[in-house]
Amino acid sequence: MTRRGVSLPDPAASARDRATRTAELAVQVDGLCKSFGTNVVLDGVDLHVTEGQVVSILGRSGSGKSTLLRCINLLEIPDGGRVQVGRHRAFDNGHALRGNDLVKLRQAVGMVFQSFHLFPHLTAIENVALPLMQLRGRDVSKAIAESLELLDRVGLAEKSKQAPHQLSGGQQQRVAIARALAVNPKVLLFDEPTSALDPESTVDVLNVMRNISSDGMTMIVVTHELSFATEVSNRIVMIDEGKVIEDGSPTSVSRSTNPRTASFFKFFDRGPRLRRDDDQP
Amino acid sequence: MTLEGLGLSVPWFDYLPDLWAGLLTTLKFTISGFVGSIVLGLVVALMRVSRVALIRAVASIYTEIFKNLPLITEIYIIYFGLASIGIRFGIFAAATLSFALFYGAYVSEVFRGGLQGVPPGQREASLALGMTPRSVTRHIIVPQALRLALPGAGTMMVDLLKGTALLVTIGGAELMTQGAIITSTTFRALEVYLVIGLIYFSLCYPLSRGVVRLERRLDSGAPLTPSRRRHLKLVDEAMRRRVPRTGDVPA
Repeated sequence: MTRRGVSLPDPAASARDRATRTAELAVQVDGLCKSFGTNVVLDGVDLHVTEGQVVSILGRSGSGKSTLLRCINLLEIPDGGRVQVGRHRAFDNGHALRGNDLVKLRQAVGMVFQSFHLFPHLTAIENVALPLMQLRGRDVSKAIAESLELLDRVGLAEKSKQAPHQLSGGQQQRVAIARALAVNPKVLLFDEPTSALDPESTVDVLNVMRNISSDGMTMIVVTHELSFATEVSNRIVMIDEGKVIEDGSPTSVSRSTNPRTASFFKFFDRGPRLRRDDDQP
Repeated sequence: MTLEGLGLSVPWFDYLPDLWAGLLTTLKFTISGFVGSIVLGLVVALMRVSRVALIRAVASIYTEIFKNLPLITEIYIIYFGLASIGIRFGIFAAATLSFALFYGAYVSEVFRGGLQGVPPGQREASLALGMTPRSVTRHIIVPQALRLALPGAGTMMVDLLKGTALLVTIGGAELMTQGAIITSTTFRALEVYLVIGLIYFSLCYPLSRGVVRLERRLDSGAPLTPSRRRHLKLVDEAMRRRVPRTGDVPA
């Protein structure tokens, strides 16, 4: 599938098969609610993700997708509901993990941000080595060797000594992915990882994500990349106004008759188009 | 001996030992005051961004008081004022305390700006990795805040160096005091203070330029600490051992 001329290499079918083989729940979200003031952002969201699954979360801007991700690793504290990640009961009706338990939860859940958030005072390899030394107790030599392997995995070993500002957006995002992998998470959350990138960098990042998913990583991806959602994901979850309106296989969701879903897919199939001066209103 | 050929009438060679002693004393006050103000400023800046309102209030009161008092007033209070109630400081201690308290208030503002200038995403990304809040502050926030604070802190240091001249009022034996002594002996105020001014300039200008160079080095990602230099040396060694893969992005 293509979007705006961006084509991806062959789909990794193994990711889909894997989901059917495993049944252990990696992430369990039940009745999640979150408001900011009077603005209800999540209104009773349920999401169960089994180990090895790749779930794409779609929806319009402001529909609550990112907030859902941030509630899973408790960057936002939910107002109500339940969040369980593996054996970590992150949030249970008003009780959120704190202190050391919270730190352990976050080490089990890696996160990749839209704006990369690399540490600008460190080189690419130091960005990856820091969590290895700080969180996994590696000595410097071992941390550097492992970091180099991780950067190799995202195709950036040769850029190890570059400062973040010396890298392109796509390269920064790939370093951010390597950094997230450094803590050996059980689940990876991606919050619009390609939204700030040009089409070529987008493909590079999506390829890295595809490779990670092929290795069996459980991934929840907030994205507007329909190509990734339909080709790499096992499931697509559509969120609208803080509620899940679709949850199913890419094929079933893309053929949904729900007007909101249909309009979303129709728009992206056609591709965003700027209005021309001679367009009729 | 005079330097009349150069239009100078003060026997400068005779005063060289005094000027040298004054220069060293000036540098001693500058370094002690700078270290004191940096340590105090960093602590106060961290207090200013504390989650505890009382800690923030104490830091704020200190900053406002010392930022709004003339430095000379502080020096007099500490050296003369406290002595009148039995608390006596030597010149070095009084000077160091005055500079640390006065410039510490300014440096704390510079550091606070640095701390608040670190984008919130940096803390968020570190916390999301599973780092503890203390570790985030130490390894992520403070190093970045120090980089942001460097221009302001550098300017403060130059100002502090010039500010040591105020110690002439309590006989600090630094450069300005030596100048006053030479003037009282030779009655050549213009020549003496021009030379003293030249010496201050030759100290301050390289210092200012050095701060700018340091900023540029930091911006280029160059390692400044021995541990980071060692890390990057290990990276070089690991890179040499590595077998390149096809499709590598060239450096």
